[in-house]
Amino acid sequence: MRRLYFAHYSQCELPLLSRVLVRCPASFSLTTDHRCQRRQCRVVDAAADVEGRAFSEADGSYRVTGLAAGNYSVTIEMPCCAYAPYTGEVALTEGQDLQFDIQMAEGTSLNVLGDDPGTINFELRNRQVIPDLPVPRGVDGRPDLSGVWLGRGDPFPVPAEARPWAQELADERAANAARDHPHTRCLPSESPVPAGATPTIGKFLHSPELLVILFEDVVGYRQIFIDGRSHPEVPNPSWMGHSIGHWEGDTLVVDTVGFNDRGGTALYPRTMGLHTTEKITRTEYGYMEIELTVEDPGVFTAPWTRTFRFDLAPQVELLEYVCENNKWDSGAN
Amino acid sequence: MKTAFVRTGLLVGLCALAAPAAAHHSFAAVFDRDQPIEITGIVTSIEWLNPHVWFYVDVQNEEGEIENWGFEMGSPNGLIRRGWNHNSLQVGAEVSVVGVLARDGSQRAAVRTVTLSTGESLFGAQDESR
Repeated sequence: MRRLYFAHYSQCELPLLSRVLVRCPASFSLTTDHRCQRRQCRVVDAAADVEGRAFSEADGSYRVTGLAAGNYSVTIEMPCCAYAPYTGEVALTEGQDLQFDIQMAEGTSLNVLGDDPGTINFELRNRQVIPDLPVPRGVDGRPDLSGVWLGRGDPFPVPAEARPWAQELADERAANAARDHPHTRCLPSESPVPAGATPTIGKFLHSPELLVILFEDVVGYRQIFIDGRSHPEVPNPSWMGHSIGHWEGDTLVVDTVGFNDRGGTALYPRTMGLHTTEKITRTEYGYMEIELTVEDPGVFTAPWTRTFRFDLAPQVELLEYVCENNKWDSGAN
Repeated sequence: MKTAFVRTGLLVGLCALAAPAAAHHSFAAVFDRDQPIEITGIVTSIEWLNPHVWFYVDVQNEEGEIENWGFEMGSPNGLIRRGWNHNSLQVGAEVSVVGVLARDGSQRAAVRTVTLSTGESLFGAQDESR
């Protein structure tokens, strides 16, 4: 089975109906676009050695071409949580033009006012005025990461194989709407920028020897030491861990250990053996990526990586966040 | 004053990996999308608190008795970024709320739209949080 992923992450239009055209065979064109002009899809066809991205057209459809004949699974990833992800199957024969329409189902937020990070992220992003400037640099000549950043997750996360106990817990959380997930209990979410309120917003305060990330979730801050120090011999087990950074070219590489075992990686649990590496690259004045690699041998059989995308949001400011009015956290639902 | 109508059921999904959990609970887990409700009444109190704003409305039922209903929304932080503020909703205001009922049968619902008696919908403003 080959896979087609369609990510509506940019959510420029929020269609209930997606028209997907799958064409075989023809050319497949690649393009990149991260500033929310069009929705994107990724095609993974290992058998035919095809991997690329396609973007939605004016009528909301995708045109994916150049595919080999065969059976494909079609996955539509939606930003949490207004619409549910979609998975379907399609069989493609040689020389065939195939068109199918997809009805997106409502997601877990039920479109409740103020509770859809995907929609709010989209609206905020469209309101930002980004100066046309080069990437700013600090006195050390390195990119300055300072600013308020609006985060989007990885639309195509592919977790490593989990250990049976961890997979069982993740499946259980998927089935019960993450009832015992730390976030559901008002405990901190995970790096790179935890988000208790919606959407993900981080304020980066960056000097040559220290990066502080402020965020709207419990704990409220991460400290990343760039002054050459090492991790403590015995780190204090903590939600955010102990982070040290060094530069590789224009990328800040952040190494974090010292996590407690009470948090999680997505829906998976974590152990105190968790080790993360973040590669932070501000590629434009208004855009930054953080590639987060998770190594947790007690949970996953191999390391795995997600790429989080951040848009500069100069017109947004952090708001206080205290998780004090969570009436449904008894698990009694 | 209270009308309920039934819509076609939709599938429940979970945004498991693409984004970290963002709602403190899954609204789909505690509210039933198949039980939409529209209620008009007077706001009696507002809890402008994270992670979820609640407000309460006195509404007259079919028997003429007053019931107090609780309505849940997203976080103040999320609402502010959609143009709400602490004064958007006032105690004493007459509001029409469209939402979906709690699964536990209590007089609680999740909110999709709020309309004031002036006809103004508390949803569309685009102010920024500064």
